[in-house]
Amino acid sequence: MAATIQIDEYNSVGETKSANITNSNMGSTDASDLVPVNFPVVPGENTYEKWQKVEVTAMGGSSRIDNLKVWRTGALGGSAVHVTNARIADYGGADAFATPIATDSTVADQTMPTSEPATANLGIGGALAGNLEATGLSDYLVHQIQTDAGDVAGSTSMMNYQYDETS
Amino acid sequence: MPKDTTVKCGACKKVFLSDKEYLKHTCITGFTPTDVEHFDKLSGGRFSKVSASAIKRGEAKK
Repeated sequence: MAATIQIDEYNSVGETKSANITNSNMGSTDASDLVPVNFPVVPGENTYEKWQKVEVTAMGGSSRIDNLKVWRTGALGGSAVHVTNARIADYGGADAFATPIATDSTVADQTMPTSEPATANLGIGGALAGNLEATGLSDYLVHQIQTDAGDVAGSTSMMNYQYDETS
Repeated sequence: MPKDTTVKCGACKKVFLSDKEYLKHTCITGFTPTDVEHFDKLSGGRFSKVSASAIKRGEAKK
């Protein structure tokens, strides 16, 4: 057996949960599963932040989930940058939810890795060394794309969420 | 504003009043969100069952 894992997204002032999201589409509205062409970003502006968590819904006989890593593969359009709160050092603990914003994120102040990080970059229970030994949730992953005024096209890339599972 | 306790399933788009209800529902996969088969189907069928004895023999590698 294996543990059952999903990615959840939280939106709006009420921290409304969309469980087991099937995409991480980003745009000019605060919503999960948005259609990017319907919510384009004006060049020079940002997407709304994404606030997401990794959730273990069943341990499936495993004893531990840990070593959470997130990164993006694939290039962004133009000079856009992808920022996140994920980091492998100086982790400041779990970020408390705040309504997603489209101004420059104050929480996501790191560049999203574009390859697998060497070590965990998303915490559990406020620490990168944290783990789950029963169903539960990771800390919040916050990320946002910030575009440049000269950017004229969007892009498609892939978010990667990885964990270790101990049987 | 109080926290919204409703949960929308990203797979079937149904809205549930609580996490507990969400975790119990039978989704479009035919399984509940706590079933590993649900995870497998939504991940494109990347997993295969391996017996504990096979794992002990080293036949299931990372």
